[in-house]
Amino acid sequence: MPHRRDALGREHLLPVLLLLPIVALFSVGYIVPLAQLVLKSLQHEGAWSLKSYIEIANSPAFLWIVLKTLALAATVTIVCLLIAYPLAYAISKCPPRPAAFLLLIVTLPYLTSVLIRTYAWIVLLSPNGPVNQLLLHLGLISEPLQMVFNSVGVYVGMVQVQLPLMVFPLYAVLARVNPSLAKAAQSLGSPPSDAFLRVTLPASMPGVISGCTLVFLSSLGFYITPELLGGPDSYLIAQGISLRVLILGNFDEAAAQSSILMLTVIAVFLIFRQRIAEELDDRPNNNVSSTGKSSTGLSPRSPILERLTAVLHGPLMRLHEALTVVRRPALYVSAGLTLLLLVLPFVVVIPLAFSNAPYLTFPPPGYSLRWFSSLLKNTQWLDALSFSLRWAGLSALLSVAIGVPAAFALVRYRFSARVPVYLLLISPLIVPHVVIAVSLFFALAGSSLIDNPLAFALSYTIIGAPYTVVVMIAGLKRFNRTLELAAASLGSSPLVTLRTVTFPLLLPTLASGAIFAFIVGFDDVVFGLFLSGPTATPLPMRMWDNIRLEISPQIAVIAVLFLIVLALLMVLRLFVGAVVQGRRPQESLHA
Amino acid sequence: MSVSTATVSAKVTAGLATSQSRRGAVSVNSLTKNFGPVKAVDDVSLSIEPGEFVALLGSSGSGKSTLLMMIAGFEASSSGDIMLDGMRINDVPSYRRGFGMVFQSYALFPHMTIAENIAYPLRRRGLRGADVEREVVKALKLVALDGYGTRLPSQLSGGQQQRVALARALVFRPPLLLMDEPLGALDRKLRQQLQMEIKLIHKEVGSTIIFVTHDQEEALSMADRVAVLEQGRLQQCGTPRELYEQPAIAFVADFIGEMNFLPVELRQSGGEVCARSADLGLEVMQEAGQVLTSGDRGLLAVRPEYVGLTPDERATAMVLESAYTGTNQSVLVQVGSIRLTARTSVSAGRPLFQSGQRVRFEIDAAHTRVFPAAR
Repeated sequence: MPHRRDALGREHLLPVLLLLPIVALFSVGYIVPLAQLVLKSLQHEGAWSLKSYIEIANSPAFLWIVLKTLALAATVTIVCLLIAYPLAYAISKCPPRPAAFLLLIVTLPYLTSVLIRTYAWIVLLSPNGPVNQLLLHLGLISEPLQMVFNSVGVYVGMVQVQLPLMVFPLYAVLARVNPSLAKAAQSLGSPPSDAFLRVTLPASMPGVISGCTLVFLSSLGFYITPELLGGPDSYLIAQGISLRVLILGNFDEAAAQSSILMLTVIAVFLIFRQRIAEELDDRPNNNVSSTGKSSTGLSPRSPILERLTAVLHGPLMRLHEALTVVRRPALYVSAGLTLLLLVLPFVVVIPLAFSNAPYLTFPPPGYSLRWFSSLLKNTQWLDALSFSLRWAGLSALLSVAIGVPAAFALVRYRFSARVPVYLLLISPLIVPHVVIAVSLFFALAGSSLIDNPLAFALSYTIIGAPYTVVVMIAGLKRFNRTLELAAASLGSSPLVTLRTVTFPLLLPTLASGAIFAFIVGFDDVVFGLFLSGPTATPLPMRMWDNIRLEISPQIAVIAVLFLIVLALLMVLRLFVGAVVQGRRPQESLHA
Repeated sequence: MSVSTATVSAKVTAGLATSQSRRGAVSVNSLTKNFGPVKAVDDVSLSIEPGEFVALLGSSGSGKSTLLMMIAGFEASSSGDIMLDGMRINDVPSYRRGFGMVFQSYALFPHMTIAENIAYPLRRRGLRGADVEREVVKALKLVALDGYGTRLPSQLSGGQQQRVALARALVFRPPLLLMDEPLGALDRKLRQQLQMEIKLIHKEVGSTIIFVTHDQEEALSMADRVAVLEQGRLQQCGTPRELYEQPAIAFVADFIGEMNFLPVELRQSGGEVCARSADLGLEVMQEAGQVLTSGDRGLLAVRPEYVGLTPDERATAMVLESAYTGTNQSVLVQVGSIRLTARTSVSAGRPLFQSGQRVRFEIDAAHTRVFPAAR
């Protein structure tokens, strides 16, 4: 379809107006602080200087930490890819309903606080935790293994935390791969495994690339899991930065390290920008133009490779036939184990919440509601809970208010700054929160905004609004615009169309965007570390202190409450969807 | 934006079956739409009478949909005029043009019941309460969906949804109804049934209809006049019979129905052109309707039903392949290097033609046309 005249009007001013609120807020709370951070790193005692960078470059300890961070991020990425691929593949082969359920299971950990999951891993992996108990019981080990507070714990926890980020893009691509392609390859003489290697795997490469990019980038700046699960040997760059700011007060070096981390992440991000900005385009991305093919249209393969393939064809076929029996079970076992890894923390946390023990032990010796009542009696916890609900809720509303118009502008209008603006608006998903938090800390330091709820509302909106934007862009792109043309042909002005057709149909998407933004703020620890104080303490900060100082079943209680709230939100979202999809017939005409 | 559009978005006043009192004359003059360097619609002029049913026929990319979108107001024209009842409406926004529109994808609002969908244009025109209810019931009756008002679009079949879309587009009695491949998503049986229904409804409501389709059979069987578009240009506009029997150019001859194109040499003599083919042993005299000059190569167009076959053992022509379709047999015949198709009616007692059979063929000169071989 060629461009249609826009039903909302042709004014060039409109996209600017739609983008103005979010760009203004991002400027104040995000761009300017980050720019100041970079400038600060280039100064020393008020004068321009590269002193911080020189000091860093001369510090073998820092280089070691950088290497370790890179190695950890790479390892986590590879492990995630290896175990996420079979799961995503298996889900893509499922019928719609089971597939939706399995995706929900993958989503659940993604929506649950990293703190809660990390806490569960401490319980699971501790010397007398269930994993060690199982291994001892099976006689595989004679002494409990030390799996927590060292790099083992960090790896296990990180992989579990990052796994959904890998599964989603892989699934998105695999679900789109036309199943007839593999069947066609089989009908042309490829055995199924060969068809997979030659057709499905290459077709899923875009998903592999975006999944790996996401996991790698977000692992680089990860803070919570390494800090809680790691030992002194698993000290990473994000921890180094926060240590310099919060304990050592070495602001210049922290600024320099933050700048390095941020610029590395942005560089990788921009390398894969093409792939990410494609999300905005309506063009199908399979219009591959001329590749390095010869004039016959066949790829010029070396004769040696051709001959080798021919020689190996027979044995490969036999090997494939031999493997046919185990191929399917192997896929399902692997997918099942990955799912288990995803849900294991919840399996532990739920019984723990009902423990009657005065300290943490698993399995609980008996069950009671003592930890629930202890929570309800503790005003510190309740205050923190209400603080988080209030300010994460406010920023969710704010995210919707500024994110929805922005998504409209980005999807519905063509203007030159469109892709840069899009990249800017989603960049808080990529830039490590530690860096953003440090920059805000520097920007707000000395003002009354530290230890002030407004700072939380601002920062929660900055990390929440990108989710609203992304969710709304996806929703708007799926939206059937012929409905708006139909409304216009029936006599609706653009605003009436928006009110009677577009908005009601996008309400479920809007709800999803709000829920995401809320959860992101509600779960936050990193901003809390830098911005909280005696008067402004969000719930995750209380949890953080509890896990670090005493580790009691109290966290499990909060996890259970959180899961209940999450379930309620999902029901609410389903309800909104149901209301939009099918209103009760009675109110049809007499509205 | 023009303000003088009061008559265009007239309120509902008369009964549903009342004719539009001769409203709904549409004409486009030298209408052009550029997409960058591409002319999607290229200098199209077309005049449509009130109450007429006109089909825009063309393959994908011919510009037929773009033309319709410009008339609907969803696409701005690059140059030229769109007139409704003598008034230029190029700058009237789509929602004030007051045309009904039916989309290929139905475009029913999924969050509204059938009744609410149909009530939608009435509400926009300020109707409330019992008036709305009465009109909705009438419109549902018109498309034979009485009692479906409380359902949701998702609970209806494709054919039923398209009927609802039709009712919704007609309920406010537009002077002009635009239909964009409305039957394209339906299967063959349903399509034929709805074609008939749409014709009947057209008779009943009397709106002008512009109907876009790529299906020539559909265009011929439904429309009063068919406008054939190709590469953005209007190639020929006429009644179905004119298009079939007197195609103005080879493209139209080829596009509408089946046609044999036989290579011939042209020789002009007086007001007539003689088309000769030595291979076929053929000579046909034609009025020189087009600029044809002696010595040019030409194409003699003849429909399969005007090619007669007789079994003849000594003939040079041979049956290559044949297809039996009940009342007819289509026969592909090889004559030298030329292949042509004949359609013969099947009658009891006469054997069917077989592959390999030698046949003599005759071409009915009165039903041939000659085109320059510029293809």
